[in-house]
Amino acid sequence: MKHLILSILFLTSFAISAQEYKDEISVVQFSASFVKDSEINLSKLNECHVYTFYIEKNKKHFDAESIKYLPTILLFQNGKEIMRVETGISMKFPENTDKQIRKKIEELIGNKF
Amino acid sequence: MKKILLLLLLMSTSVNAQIFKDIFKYSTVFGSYTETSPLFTPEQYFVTQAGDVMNITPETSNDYTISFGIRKIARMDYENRENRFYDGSEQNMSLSSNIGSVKGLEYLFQFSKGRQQGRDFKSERYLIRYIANYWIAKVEMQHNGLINLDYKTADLRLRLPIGKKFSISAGGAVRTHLPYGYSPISDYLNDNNWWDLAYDYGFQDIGYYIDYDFDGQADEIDWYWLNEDGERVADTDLDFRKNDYTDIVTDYNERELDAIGILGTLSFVVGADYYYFRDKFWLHSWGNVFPKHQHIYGDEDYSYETFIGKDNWLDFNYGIVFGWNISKNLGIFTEHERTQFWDKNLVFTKVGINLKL
Repeated sequence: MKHLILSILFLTSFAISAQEYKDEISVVQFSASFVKDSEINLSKLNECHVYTFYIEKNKKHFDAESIKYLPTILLFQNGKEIMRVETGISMKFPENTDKQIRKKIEELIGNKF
Repeated sequence: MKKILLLLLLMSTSVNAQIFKDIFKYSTVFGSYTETSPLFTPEQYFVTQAGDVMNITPETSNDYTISFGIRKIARMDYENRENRFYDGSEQNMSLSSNIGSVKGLEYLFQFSKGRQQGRDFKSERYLIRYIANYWIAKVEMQHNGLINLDYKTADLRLRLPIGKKFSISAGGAVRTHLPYGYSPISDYLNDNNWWDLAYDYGFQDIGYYIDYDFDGQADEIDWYWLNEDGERVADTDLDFRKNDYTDIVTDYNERELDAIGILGTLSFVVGADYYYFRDKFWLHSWGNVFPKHQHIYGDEDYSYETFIGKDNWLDFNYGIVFGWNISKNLGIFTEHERTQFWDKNLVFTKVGINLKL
């Protein structure tokens, strides 16, 4: 029992230090100050966590997620990448990107019920 | 003016439609009928004086349950959906903890009736919970005729998230309960003899003595007991106390507790929740402490506060769910819940290991 408790405490401390922006259902927009105009407004997504990272400030996340284009949106669920939307060299998201993301989030939440 | 009114009406209709849509989004209306053969009963036989054998095994009809309701309760990520369809038998760990798998509104309105092991029952459970970023509200009413559970609770708290995985909460909780701690029969026996209660129930005792050595002196004195129809039901006091008197005590306790009715207590509550899930490892833990209480409903003479003479007893509950897929083939898991409310202590523990061969 003692070993079990110690293991749980160890794993908990590991879990606390894990990347929080991938927890539960999270939408992360990887961007830069010079492409702000190309960003999508994610503030209306209130059924999930929303993050925006700028390459000037959070370079390590860009490296960790192998971001090639700016901006890029990643949708995570419990640490897993579920969806990636890239702008490409045009630096513009495909049409209806926000609708597609919203639809995917609804699908993920719907699977819990 | 007409146009403004029309516009307001349209806006109001549109807002109402959106609210209605939000309330019922992800919800499921369900109804189910389940019928199963009863538990195995060993066959019983009676042999007559003439040597004929008669099967006297009591006939038991099939168990059945009818359930219907509407539910919008999200499963935690570590919980699998038991069946493809909801049938009212679901248990969700998220209902034990303070936070659920999703934010916003969740609810369950469920009614069941049926027969289990020859006993008819009715059960109802009504629950509404709202989890916001900085507050939690929960109202629940449960009546379970199978396990004689009957309670109502309302809980309103402020919540402070610390990171995405951990949160603490504090607020007030109203809980209804039976007069825990009070024992009517103990109270009765403080002022009365035990046999007085038997007389009240129509029983009568008749004394006799036994003269073992036929010397004309009583070696032992005892009483035999008659019921209200004059039938002899026990040969001695001990025999009576072991059999009929236990029923009398049970009935007396139930009657007196029913007369007192339900009590309500408002308690200050502090809680904490932690939830982390990955496919390989998950940990969900929660705990609540109720350190201060105020009797608010029912006869205060029978409140738990009066019974123990203070308003700061410690009620608490906590739970932990943990799973770890150590390798592709090996996994361990544990679930532990403990509730200490009033003088009731409930514990549930499950520990296991899975090895895929």
